[in-house]
Amino acid sequence: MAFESISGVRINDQNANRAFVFADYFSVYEDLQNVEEIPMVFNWGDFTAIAETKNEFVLDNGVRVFNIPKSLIDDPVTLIRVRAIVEGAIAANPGIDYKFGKRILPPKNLCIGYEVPVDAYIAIGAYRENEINNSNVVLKYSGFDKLIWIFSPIVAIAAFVLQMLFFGSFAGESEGVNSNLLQILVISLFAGLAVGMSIYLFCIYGAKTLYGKILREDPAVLEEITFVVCEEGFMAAESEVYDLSSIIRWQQVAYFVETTHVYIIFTGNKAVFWLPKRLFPKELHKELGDFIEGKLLQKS
Amino acid sequence: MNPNVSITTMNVSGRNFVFANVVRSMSQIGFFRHSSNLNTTTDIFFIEKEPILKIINPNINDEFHNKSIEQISGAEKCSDFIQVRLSTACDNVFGYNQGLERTLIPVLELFKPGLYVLHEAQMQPCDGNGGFFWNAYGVKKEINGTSDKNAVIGNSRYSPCFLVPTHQASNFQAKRMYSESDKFKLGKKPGGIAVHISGMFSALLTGHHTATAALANDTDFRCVVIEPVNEVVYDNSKKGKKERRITALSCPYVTIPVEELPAGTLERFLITRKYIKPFDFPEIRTKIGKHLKTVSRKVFPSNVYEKAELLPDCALVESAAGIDSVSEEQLTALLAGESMYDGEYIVSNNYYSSIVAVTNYLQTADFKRFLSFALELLKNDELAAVHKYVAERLLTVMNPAVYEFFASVESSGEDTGIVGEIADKYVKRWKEHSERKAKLDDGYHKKRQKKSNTAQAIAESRGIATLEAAVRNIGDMPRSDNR
Repeated sequence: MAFESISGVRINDQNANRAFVFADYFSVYEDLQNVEEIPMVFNWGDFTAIAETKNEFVLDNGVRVFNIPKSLIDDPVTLIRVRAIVEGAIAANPGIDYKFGKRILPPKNLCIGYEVPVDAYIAIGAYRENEINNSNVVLKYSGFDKLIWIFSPIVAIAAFVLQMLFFGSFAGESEGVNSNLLQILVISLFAGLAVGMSIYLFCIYGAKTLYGKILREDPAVLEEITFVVCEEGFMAAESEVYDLSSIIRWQQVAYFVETTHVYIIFTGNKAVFWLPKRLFPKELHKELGDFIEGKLLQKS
Repeated sequence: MNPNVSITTMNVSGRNFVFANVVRSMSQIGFFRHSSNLNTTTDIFFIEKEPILKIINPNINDEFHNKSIEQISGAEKCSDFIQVRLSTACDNVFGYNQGLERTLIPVLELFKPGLYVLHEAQMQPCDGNGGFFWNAYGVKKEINGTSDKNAVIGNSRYSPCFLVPTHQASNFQAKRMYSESDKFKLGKKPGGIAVHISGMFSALLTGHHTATAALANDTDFRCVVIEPVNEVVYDNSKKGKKERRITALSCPYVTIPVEELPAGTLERFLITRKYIKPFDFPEIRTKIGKHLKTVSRKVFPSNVYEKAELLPDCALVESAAGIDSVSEEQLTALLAGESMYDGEYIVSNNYYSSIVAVTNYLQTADFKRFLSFALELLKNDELAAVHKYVAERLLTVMNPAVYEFFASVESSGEDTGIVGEIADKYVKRWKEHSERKAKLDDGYHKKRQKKSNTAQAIAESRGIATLEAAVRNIGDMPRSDNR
C-alpha cells in the first residue's frame, strides 16, 4: 500500500443527510443529525469494485453500493487526497476491480512502496497545455497515419477516374483532352490532399477535445506534479500527496514514445506517464532518453 | 496551532483506564510506512529526526506471522527538548508519584494525533527469547511475539511487556546504571516510559539505565506504557456483519466499547491515519540505510545477560495472557489433581496444559503464589506427571525457598527421578549464584563505603544535619538516565 500518510477526509452530503470518511477505513454516517450515531466502518478489502467516473466515486461491496458525488468536494486538493487514499487502498487490495476515467497521471494503485533513491531523476512542475496537445496530436496521428497514406492516394485516384469518366477521354470526348487532363490531375491531387488534411485536422480536434476532457475530469492537470525516474521504476503524482516513497515498476508498463516535448509511457495501449522534457536541463535530455530506452522498448 | 491533548479516565468492564486523545500535536514520535509491496511492509519508528527502529512484516497477508525489528539509530541523538520532556515526565510519575493524567501531557504532545491508552505495567528487560534487551536488536531477525495477532492469546488482553531500546547500546554508562541501582537500594522505584510498537513489544523511550539496574538487582521494572489504539472490533451478529457495524476500538491492553467513547472521539479515530509523514521526512530518509555500530557484550555487566535469560520468555507470557485470574479454590482443585472447579474447567480439560498455563500465569502475575503453588505441586507425589515441567520452571528461580526444597530432595538420598536430577543442577547453580552475589555485594559495599565517606565530607563542609540526608542528596543527584 502506498499513500498511507495522507490525512483522512470527511465529506458531508447535506442533501442526502449522510457523510463519508476516507482514511484507513471507509466509514459512512447515515444520519447527520444524530451525534451519537455509530457509523458503518468498512475495511477497504471489503469492497469488490470501485469506480471513479466523471461525476462520482462508486464503491461496491457486493451488498451495498455507495455513490459519492464529486460535487460534494469543492476543493481540487481534497479531491486529489480522496483519490490518493482510494487508490492507495486498492494497491493494498489488488482484488478490487477498479475503473477510472480520463487521466493525466498514472493510477496510484499501480504503485508499490519504494524509497526513491537520491540518484533518481526528479523534477517538479505543472503540465503545459501545448505539450499535452502536441503529444496528443502525435499520438492520434500515429494511429491515423496509415489511414492518411492509404486514403489520400485512393481518393486522389478515385477522383481522377471519376473526372475522366465524366469529363475526360473516358467520356468519349477528344477535344481539349490535354487541357482537361491537367485540370483533372490537379483537382485529383487536391482531393487526396484535402482528405489527408481532414484526417490530420480531425487528429488535432481529437487531441484538443481529449485535453478538454482530461481537464474536466482530472484536477491534477493544473497541479504541481513531482516526476521521478529511477532504476526500479517511475512515478508522477501531485506534489501535495507524493512523498517519494512509492513508484511504478518498469515491469508493469509496455513501451514508450518520445515526442518533441514529452516521453510517454504506455501500458498496453493506454498512456500512463507523461514526462515533460522541459522540466529537466537540456544536457540531461539525451541521458534521460537513453536511460528510459534502457528500461523499455521504444515505439516511433 | 497549539497542541491539544485531553486525558480522561474511563471505566471499562469495572476497571479504570486512562485514555488520551491527541488532536493536534508536534508529531515528533510515531510511525511511517517506509516501503510496501503485496507481501512485505517496512515501517519506521521515528523520534524527531532519527529513524530509530525498522519493523519489517515479511507476510502482511498472515496476521499471525512474526515481524523483524531492527534498531537503526538512537534517540540520544535527538534534541534535549525531547529528552527533557520524557525524563521529566518519568521522574514525575515514578519519583513524585504524580498521576498519569497530569504528567504525561507534555509527552503526548510529541506523539502524532490519535487515541492512546496509558497504563503502568511491569516490563521485562529482555527480547522475549532470553536476550538482554539493550543490544538484542542490532541485526535483522524475526522475533517471536511480534505478530499483530497471537494464536495462543486469542482475544484476551495483555500488556506488551518486552522491551526494545531506543537508545544505542554504546550509550550505556556503568556509572549511570549504578546510580539507578542506588535508587532501588534506597527503596525508590524509578521506572521508564515505553510506547507499544508491535505484538508484545514496546519501545523504551526513557529509562534504559533504570531497566538495566532493575535487572541487575532482581527488581521489577515498571513503565508507563503508551499504546496507540489502532484496531476496530466488528459486531459479529448477522445484521452487524452485513452493515459492518463496529462495537469497540482496541489495542493489546484494552478493548473500548464505542458507546463509552466521548462524543467526537470515534470520528477523530476514523479520520486519523495510523501512519504519518514526519516533518523532517527528507532528513530521516537519508539516515534509514545506515546501520548501528555493533557493541561488545562486555559493555554491559555480565550478570544482566544471565538474568535476562531467566526472565519470562515469549511463550510463557503468551500462555499466561490467556488467563485473567485464578482463585485460591481453583489452585486447591488443581493441587488435588482436578482440572474442573465448581462445574467448570479451570483452564482446559487437559490437566497438564492447565498446570502449564496456571504456572505461567502465576509466575508473571503473582510470584509469591507461584512459588507456593509450584512447591506444593512438587511435594505431591500423585502429580508426578507435571513434576518435570514445574521443576524446570523453578530451575531458573534463585530463591531461598526453592533452594531449601531442592536441597532437601538432594540430601534425602531417595531415587526421585527427574526431579532429583533437576535438584542437583539447582543446588549447583545456587552455590555459584551465592558466590557471585557475595562478590558483587562486597564490591557494592566498598562503593557504598566510599560514597558514605564522601557524604560525610560533604555533610561536614555544608553542615547538613544528618549523614543519611547527605547520602540521599548524592543518590538524588543524577535524577534520570537521560540527563
